[in-house]
Amino acid sequence: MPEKKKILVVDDAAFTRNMLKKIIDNADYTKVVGEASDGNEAIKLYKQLKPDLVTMDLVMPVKGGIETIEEIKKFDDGALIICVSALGQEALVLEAAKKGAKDFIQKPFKSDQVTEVLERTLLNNKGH
Amino acid sequence: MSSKEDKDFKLFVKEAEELIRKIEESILNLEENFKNNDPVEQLYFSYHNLKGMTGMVGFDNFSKLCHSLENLLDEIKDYEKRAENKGQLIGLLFESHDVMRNLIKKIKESDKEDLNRQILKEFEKRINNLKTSTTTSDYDITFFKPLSKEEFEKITSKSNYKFFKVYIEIQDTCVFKKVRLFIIFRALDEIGRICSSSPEPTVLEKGAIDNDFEIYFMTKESKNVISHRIDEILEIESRKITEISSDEFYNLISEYCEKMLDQMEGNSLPTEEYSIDSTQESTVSSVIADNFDDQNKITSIKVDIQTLETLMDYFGELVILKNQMSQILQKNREREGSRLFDDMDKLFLEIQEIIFQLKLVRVEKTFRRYRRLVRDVAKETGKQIKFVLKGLDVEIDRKVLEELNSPLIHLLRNAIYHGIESPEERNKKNKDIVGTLRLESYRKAGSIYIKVKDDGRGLNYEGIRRKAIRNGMYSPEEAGKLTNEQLEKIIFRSGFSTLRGADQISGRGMGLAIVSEKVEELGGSVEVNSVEEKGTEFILDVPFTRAILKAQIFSVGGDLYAIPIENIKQIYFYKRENLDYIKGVEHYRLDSELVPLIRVDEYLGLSSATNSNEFSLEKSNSSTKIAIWCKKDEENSAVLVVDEILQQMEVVIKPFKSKYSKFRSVLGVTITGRGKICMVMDVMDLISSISREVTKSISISN
Repeated sequence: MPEKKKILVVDDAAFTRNMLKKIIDNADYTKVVGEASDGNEAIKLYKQLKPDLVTMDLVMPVKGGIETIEEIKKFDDGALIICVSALGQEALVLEAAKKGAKDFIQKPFKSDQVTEVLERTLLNNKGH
Repeated sequence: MSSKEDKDFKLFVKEAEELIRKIEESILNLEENFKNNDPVEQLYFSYHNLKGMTGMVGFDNFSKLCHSLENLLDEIKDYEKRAENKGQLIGLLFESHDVMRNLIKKIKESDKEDLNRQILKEFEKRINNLKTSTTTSDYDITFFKPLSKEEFEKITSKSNYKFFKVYIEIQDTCVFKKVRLFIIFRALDEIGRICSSSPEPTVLEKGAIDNDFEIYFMTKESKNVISHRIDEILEIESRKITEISSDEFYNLISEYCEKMLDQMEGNSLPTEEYSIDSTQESTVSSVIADNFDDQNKITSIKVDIQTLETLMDYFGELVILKNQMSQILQKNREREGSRLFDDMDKLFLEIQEIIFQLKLVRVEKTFRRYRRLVRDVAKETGKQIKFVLKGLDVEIDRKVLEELNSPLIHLLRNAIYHGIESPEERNKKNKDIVGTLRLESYRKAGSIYIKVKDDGRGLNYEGIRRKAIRNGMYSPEEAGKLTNEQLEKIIFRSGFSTLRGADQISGRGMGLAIVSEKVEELGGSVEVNSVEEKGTEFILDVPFTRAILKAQIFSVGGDLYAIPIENIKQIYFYKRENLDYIKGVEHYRLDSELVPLIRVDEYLGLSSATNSNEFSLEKSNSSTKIAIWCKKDEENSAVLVVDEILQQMEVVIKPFKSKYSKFRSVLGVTITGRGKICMVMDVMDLISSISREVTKSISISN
């Protein structure tokens, strides 16, 4: 069995982080290697853990998702980032996509939706 | 308040006014070219400066408003941050501008009151709303790259490109369609070029699709690569990729590409078209022009103009003295003196020329201010309008330009209200939904022409006819006989426009009489041309300047009068046998033409104008009478009957300010070489008043 892909979960709400962690850890090929509750922490952990993929909440205190995506991209252009957003945040998600987010997960999410997005993104960007 | 403080305060008002004017200009520029960041920056600095100034003078709330606006502009200095809020942003900027302008106006009129707190709060709230929504919005998803025909041919000749029609259907459950589209476009953009789509790219860019769409895409990659790329993307229900020929491909993209390329070209060129005449480099005018080009000096010019007027007056006195001197020299046959005089005369002409130029201003500033008007009226009426300015470098006497302000506003408003149709209507008529309104000026001969032209529905001649009947100007039978040309004239008549505001059946008619009156007062005329469904144009023809002109002097009843030489066609001895009547109106036969006759003495009320009187006059000195054939234009002319013809000379016209100024056929007064007062008559007006009476008398006789 191939090694599980390392996922970093970024969200200021512990509840959401737990949900995502459960789904990701339950999947055959992914595991959560780190959790961050704000942008600065996320950047620090990204550099430290070099995860294969990041799930990024867009609205967070201190440092928002968009800015965090930008900084991670500056550090690693090939970073795979999936943003997590609530309903009605289309503009924000679009901006995130422009900054380089690969795709998005929409809250409230179901586990298979999350796994599908992660799977698709990880498989399609094997090169990185 | 000490005089020093007073002076400081005046300076504050002046600078604030200038800044506010600049702000308006910047808002207009921003609205016109929303992607351009320069106006945003200009606004930012303008608000910043205004903030400092108003703060120092103690208008705290005013200053706070500037502060908030300054911050807002700082936040939206990148296009993406404001892309989505154009309407709101421009609206807010204009409204705050209006508030500021009115406030300064009040402050200037010594009502030194700060901005109302409530208003400030409201603005702050709106500014904050804009801020939060702008920071979260970035709605531009342009991946479309239009292709010109040449470029396309170049590509096809190399032939390593393949052309595809890519049909994609997005899942019904997809919520963020726009983001999904973005992801699809991004994926395709990485391997080729997206040229167009169906529905149109502009629709797709808004994310306004049902679920499916078609993209016209060219790439060097194979069909498999494209399918693979698309299959990687989530939320796609189905897709179909068809390779097509380059010809078919171009057919599919050409419409959109041409439109886009046109627009891009249009954007790179300013909408105003300048026709700068490089030969016009006389030092004075270019110095003046430079001063005008600098920022906002209209106020300081105002002072200058007053000085200029005085200069003009003195110069006028000099010209009069010069004329007197010429008479003396001629009388005494002084050759030496005459030669010197001729040299001096040349210099006089040069100075005169310079003074003229000093009085001239470019129409640019005034014309540009109409952009706001057009914008507001268009908004109010729900119409879409492209406002094109042309001939901005044309120079015109400042006073004339000022006088033209209200007629022009009238015509522009009319064109939007009645000429240009609503977008829906235009769409039905297969016209571009955006109407074009042009304001043009150009010089020809001694006149300035200003044209207001729309591409709207044109004059409704039947409507005018009906209204003329309803207003009691004509009986139905008479009205039935009126030609379009006559109907065009009617709309300028004062009886035509009524206060029944709701009555807009005839289309035009909102006080066009005022327009023609004003223009005629300036010694000009208005012409209207209209083609049904193609549009209407109004051409104002106004004299370049009206201060000094060459005139023919004549006498009537012992008094001196003058008319501009340019209006004279021919001078004859008056012969009674040439007199004729048309419908009871006196006419004079010239060759084969019958021209309306004006007896100047009667016209001025100098003789009792009874037939017997006329008869006796005719008998006593019919041989000395003179007939001057004057023309207004090719069609309208009249014969003036005067007593004696005198010399021609340059006259300086002084405005005729008295209870007689209502007497419209007088341009002004001047003083002759002998020191006599001489009234300068306005032939144009004389003739138009006659032709009005003629029409009137026809209608009465019927």
